[in-house]
Amino acid sequence: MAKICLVVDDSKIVRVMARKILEGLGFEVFDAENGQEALDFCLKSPPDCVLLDWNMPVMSGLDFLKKIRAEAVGKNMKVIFCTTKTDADSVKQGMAAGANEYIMKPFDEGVIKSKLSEIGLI
Amino acid sequence: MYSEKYEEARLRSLISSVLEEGAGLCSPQINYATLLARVHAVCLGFSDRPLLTPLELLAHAHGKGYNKEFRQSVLEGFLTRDTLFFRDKDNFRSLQKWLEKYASFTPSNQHIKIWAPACASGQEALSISMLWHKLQQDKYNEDAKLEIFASDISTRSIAKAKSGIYNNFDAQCGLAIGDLLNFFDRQEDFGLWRAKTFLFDNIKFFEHNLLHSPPSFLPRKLDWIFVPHTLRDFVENTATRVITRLASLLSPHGWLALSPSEVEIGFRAGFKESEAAHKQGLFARSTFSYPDHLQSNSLLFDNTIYATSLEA
Repeated sequence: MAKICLVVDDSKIVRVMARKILEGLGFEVFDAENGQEALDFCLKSPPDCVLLDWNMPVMSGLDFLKKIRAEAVGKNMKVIFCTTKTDADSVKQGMAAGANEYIMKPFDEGVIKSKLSEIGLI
Repeated sequence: MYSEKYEEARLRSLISSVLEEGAGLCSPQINYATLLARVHAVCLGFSDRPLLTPLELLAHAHGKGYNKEFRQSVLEGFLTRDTLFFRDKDNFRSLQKWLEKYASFTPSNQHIKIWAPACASGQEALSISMLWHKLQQDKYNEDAKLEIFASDISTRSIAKAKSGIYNNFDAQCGLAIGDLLNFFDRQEDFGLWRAKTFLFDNIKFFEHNLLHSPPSFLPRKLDWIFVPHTLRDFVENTATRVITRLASLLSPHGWLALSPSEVEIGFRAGFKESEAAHKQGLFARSTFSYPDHLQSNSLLFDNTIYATSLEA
């Protein structure tokens, strides 16, 4: 059965690009435009992995991560930040909040594959 | 009058001869547009005006074809530089196990020696250095010393390797974010990452063509040679010649790490078939007698004992 990945990003281009890459890697892909949509999705049907933007309207990726980690279904969910926040302090902040990995945009298939492999999903 | 197919054939022939004579490499399996783009990039470095047509490229290439500098540039332009940190993770896991077990018995006056003879822009050597520093942080054997020799035929690649500077794409490929933060400094103004200085303390980078004899400073009893994804680019006889030379540089207990896609080359060069080789392209130099408390070569692999030995 295909693993499920939720792509959370307010940019449609990023969602489409990530979907193409992830589907090529055998994932079933869903998407959300902000942290609140992602939270609703995850509480209802927890995915194997969340590819998470940081800066989004309604609810940021960081707030989503803190909230989902506080829920039982989110304790072991794999979350990869995928963001333009590339300074070292932000990376540390994101990891401290509970991310499993961190992608600095721009990214390509090689980067996604590498990070998924790092957290044992491929 | 040249037809396009004729021009393409001539260009491919020229590139092939430069690559094979200069480095023993096969013709690149790339389409004509990519071939032209690469030749164009090379030629621009030798021309004060843009070259416009394949015919001009060809004429230019022929005009400079016997020039040593031009040939080196063609080589540089066509060398494979695709690499990443901790590529072929199974081989790095095996190296880690080896370092944790066998290397812990290495006398303090004897250094562990590893060579990455096609290190491209340095990711492999730095990966080994990171692995070593992580083990040292665990204080598994404070007396042990490691020397990493890392070479490449490309002047440009070695310069990049020595700089230790990588863009976001390079820095993220194969490297866990924790390792990136621990072993690299962010160059905030440029969006780049620079490997921390201490990683270079035990690495010696140098230019080297695998068709030539290794330099005199390279130890003759190496513990590991990491040369994955390289031999497959050589023409067949050359690959066998190169791997045979590499094998002769290994110590009796040494290991040769190829890639999973290159096991056939290893077998052709005289290494015995093994399940381990099939899995990850890793070959033992000989039936070395490990201390009794270490289970021979099995210490590198999980659950199974693999008989890997170099035929006499």
